[in-house]
Amino acid sequence: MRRLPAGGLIDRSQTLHFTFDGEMMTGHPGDTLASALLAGGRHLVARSLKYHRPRGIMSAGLEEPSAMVTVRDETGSTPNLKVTEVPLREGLQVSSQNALPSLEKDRAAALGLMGKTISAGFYYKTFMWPQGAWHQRFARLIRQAAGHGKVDPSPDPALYDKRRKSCDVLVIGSGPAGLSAAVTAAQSGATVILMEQDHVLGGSLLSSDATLQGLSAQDWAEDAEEALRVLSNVTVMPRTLAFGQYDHGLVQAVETLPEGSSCQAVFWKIRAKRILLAAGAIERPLVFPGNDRPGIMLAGAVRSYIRRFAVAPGRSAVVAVADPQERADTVAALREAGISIAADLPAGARLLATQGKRHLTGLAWRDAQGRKQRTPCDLLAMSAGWMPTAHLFAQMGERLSFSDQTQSLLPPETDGPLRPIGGARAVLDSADCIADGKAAAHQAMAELEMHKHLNLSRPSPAPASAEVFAAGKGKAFVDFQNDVTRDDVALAQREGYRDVELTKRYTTLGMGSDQGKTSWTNGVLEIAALSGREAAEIGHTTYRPPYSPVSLGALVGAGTGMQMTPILRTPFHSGFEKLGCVFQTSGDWLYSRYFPQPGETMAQAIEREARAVRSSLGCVDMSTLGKIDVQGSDALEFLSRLYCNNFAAIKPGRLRYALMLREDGYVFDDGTIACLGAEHFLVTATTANAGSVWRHMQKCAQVEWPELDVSLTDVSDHWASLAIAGPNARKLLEALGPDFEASRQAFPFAAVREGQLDGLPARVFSVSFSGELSYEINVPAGFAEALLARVMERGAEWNITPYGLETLDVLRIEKGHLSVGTEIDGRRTPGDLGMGGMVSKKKDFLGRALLQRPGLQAEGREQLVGLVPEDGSTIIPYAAHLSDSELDAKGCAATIGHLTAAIESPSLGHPIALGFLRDGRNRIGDVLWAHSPVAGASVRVRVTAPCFYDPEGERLHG
Amino acid sequence: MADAPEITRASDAEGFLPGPLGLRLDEEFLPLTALNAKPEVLDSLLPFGRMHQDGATFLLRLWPGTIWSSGPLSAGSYRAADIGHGLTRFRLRGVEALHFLDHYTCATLFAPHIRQARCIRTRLGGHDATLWWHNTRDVHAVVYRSAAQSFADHLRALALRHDPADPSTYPRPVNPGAPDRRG
Repeated sequence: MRRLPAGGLIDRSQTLHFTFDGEMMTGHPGDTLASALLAGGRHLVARSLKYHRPRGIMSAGLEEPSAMVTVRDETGSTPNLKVTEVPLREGLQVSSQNALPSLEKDRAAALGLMGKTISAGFYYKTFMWPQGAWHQRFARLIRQAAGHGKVDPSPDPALYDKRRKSCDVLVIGSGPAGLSAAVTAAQSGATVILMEQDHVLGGSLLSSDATLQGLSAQDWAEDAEEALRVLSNVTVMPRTLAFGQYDHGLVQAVETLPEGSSCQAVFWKIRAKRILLAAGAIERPLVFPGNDRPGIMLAGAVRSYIRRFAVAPGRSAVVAVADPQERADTVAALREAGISIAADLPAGARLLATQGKRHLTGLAWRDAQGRKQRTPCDLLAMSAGWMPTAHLFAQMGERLSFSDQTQSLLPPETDGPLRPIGGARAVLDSADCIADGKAAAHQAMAELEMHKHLNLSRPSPAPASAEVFAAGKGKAFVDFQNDVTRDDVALAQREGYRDVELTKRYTTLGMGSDQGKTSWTNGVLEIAALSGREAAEIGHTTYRPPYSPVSLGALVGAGTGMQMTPILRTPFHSGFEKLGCVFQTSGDWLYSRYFPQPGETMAQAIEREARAVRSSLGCVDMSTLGKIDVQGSDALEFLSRLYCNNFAAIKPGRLRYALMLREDGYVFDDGTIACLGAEHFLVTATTANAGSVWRHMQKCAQVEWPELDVSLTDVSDHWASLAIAGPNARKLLEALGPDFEASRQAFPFAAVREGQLDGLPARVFSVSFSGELSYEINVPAGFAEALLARVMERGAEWNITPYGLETLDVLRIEKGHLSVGTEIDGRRTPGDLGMGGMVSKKKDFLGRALLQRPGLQAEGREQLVGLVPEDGSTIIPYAAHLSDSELDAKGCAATIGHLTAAIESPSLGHPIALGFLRDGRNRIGDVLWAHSPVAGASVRVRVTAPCFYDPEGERLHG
Repeated sequence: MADAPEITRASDAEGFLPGPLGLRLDEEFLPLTALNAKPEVLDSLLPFGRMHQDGATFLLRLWPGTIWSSGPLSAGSYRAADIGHGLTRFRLRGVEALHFLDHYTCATLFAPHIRQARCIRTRLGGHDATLWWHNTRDVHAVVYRSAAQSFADHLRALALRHDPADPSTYPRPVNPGAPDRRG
């Protein structure tokens, strides 16, 4: 055990148990998996991506590049979690990844001997032939040898949520700068959210031995936290990772809730007027041969494990830290933990190599005088300096610039909503960070006019140490996660991939789940040194969210299953449920599909329903149609401009079929216009276009023709609509006891009546989609069930049969009626659909000008036709393509059209189809081929008119 | 003529939502009429973006050319259309009612201008929703009738995801001497 006897922010009174690769281990509340593993003496926790080199824990935060594991808990297993980010919980089962067969004895480690052979880009050059082997063999082999954990395919039982919040000032990070900024802004009266990825506040203060304003760093952090605790205008969000910044002050973050919460994680969208990014800085590793061995850690991580987690990460340490002050702090921390200092490398030392198989056992180095030294050790604390964590800042496209002074990429001054403060702008001293946070908060408050301008000066970024270490020759890793070495970067430069974006893609430098957190600055410096350019010229690649990986479950939130999108139900839904309806989603609607009787298949049910409508009586839900109430002295003029056909003579009580065009002359939608009064109309739109037509009409009324006196009201949901169709429809209507006359003469086809129907207020439209005598009965939606009950009760005399969307489709195809999405597909003119005669030549209407385009008036356009099998019985495959010729030897044939609908007609007793055929109306009677490569069928079909059933329309009148 | 038929409900919302927040969701019928007129005509009745309730008369104007009206109203030069059956009014009651909804609405319900107006048209989980409230513990939410069951189901799913006391997500009681909460 390497646990220190005292100190740290852990609760020693409780012991938590977990397993690592089956081995039982323990830790305490307050531990991360990393600190618990180190406390248990476990350094080797992973194998590297490509070479399968042994890897340990290098850092203490989310910048960890190597130590990734698969964690299994009660919700399943999650791969690729960084051990430094996982709070220890009872019962976790942790397993290593990418090791064959085990972490200790990984056969694939032999790949490390092929370093030169499998350098950067080797797979682009190597797996060139034989053709086809890439997918069959090579890709599989590479994926087997290199990779991370495996995704658990079982459903995740955990709950997630997605919420929103807003505030005046959002502070990201709770180190000295963040706490100082939050307290300053909150005490000025702003609503403040303080977000911290860790479960405790304090950031770097938790492992600092600095004295701040007379208090220890930890006490200062506690004091600031207490100051925030008493303010009602502050929300503190620990365990919350801000991973993306977007337009207008939007920050997205994921909060991981404590164990026992209802929800595992919450995805937050937080909009703030000002965002103070106090995310601190990430320590830069040294690049030298063998710098990836377990036992080699960032110096800041060493201090953190000792002071925060009370863990001694080694027994004998070498210190290789560039900054003198940090070096002294690290040495002090090591001494606090009783770790002997094997060597404190002086400036100018050259690091030559490390020894050890699965753990560091020694370091070879050369001093400034060139003398070679070999120092036995099991811990190397290294640091080349610090890199500001300005990722969120750069995500909005602002470029970071390399500063020679700080030897890091720095964010520029900005007047945008997000302002880096403290370590995020390379201010590294804790006292300076406190001053910077305060000054930045005052500045933000002044900009928000919540405080007067104080013009507090802000500390300057801390210059990088003049002391540097040199490195010997050998396999020196720049990117630990992707196994990118200094030689790989050099190879990319030699082979011409000099641009930073090309270097990244050729070598994979900075890719992966850590997105170059520990590697990018070193990568820039390596490229600069190799190419002889200034580091400032190199630039950086694009920073994109997420800053660090977040759970997909959190991004989805509650939007799974039935919660994914709103589901619309018609007013008849529960009534139809009682009738045994099978529903289907159609757009957003949950629509009645068919009504099977016991033992019936869908096809049998559809045939029975269709025959019932044709022979007696059926009823179908039409509530999903769009319904728009149009009133005003200019209502008729408004509609006349919207629709292409002429209905100027329409009288109250009558309705017309109407066709609406888009501005470009193509058919947009069809529906009916019912005249309820001299200045009052009800317009229907198709289900699919209900929303679009409503928006289109509003736009026309408000923007195109504001001079017209017209009022629009969407009453789609107000009216439930049940169509009764069949030869006995009028008998049923009369049986329902309307307070208006319903005879053929008094209530003809294409008319509307308002009144009472069996005690229900109703509007009845004599209009038909099925081709039979039909009435669409509209009642206020709350009376839908009452209407359905009455219709079913009174209709029993004629054996009324409810039918659904499938039968509705069969009936309309038999009749040759149009459907949006199939025939009205956005590419058809009225003429293409056989409705050219409807288009008014006298009036102006929307779409008229562009309908006259030569292309839309050309001869030979595809036109709607009907099709029947030449032999009268062969089924016509759905979605087949039409051709004059048979398929050739290659399975090809010149296409002259395609099918839009194909059924076996119950009424006609043979298959029929609708389709678009080039110059179709002139080809009626011709015999063509209908080819369907998907169905593997080709059928000879004869071209007919699109209306197969009652072409004279006699049945509509009863 | 038969007795006036009962208006059937659009959802099964009646009672407490699951979860620990103690929120109650009930569906109540509200006979609404859309009053359409030129904005200047409606301005005399109710300014844009406002809600007014006086006894049984309820007015809500969240559209320039339309007012939602319920209850008796003096005659005016408006064009009326019944819309009450097409909209479903829910009442969400409980200490955290408005805070709960605020987590999920596109609009920030505690923004100063919205707190003052106490009404807003917004979206919640993909649903178009019109909200108004007289106090934060009793919120009226109106959605299209066709989406009512889906909306109620969604609120139930969301309520399950909360804990009784979550200091990170709720404003705390005001401490004596603390600055006023802003925004």
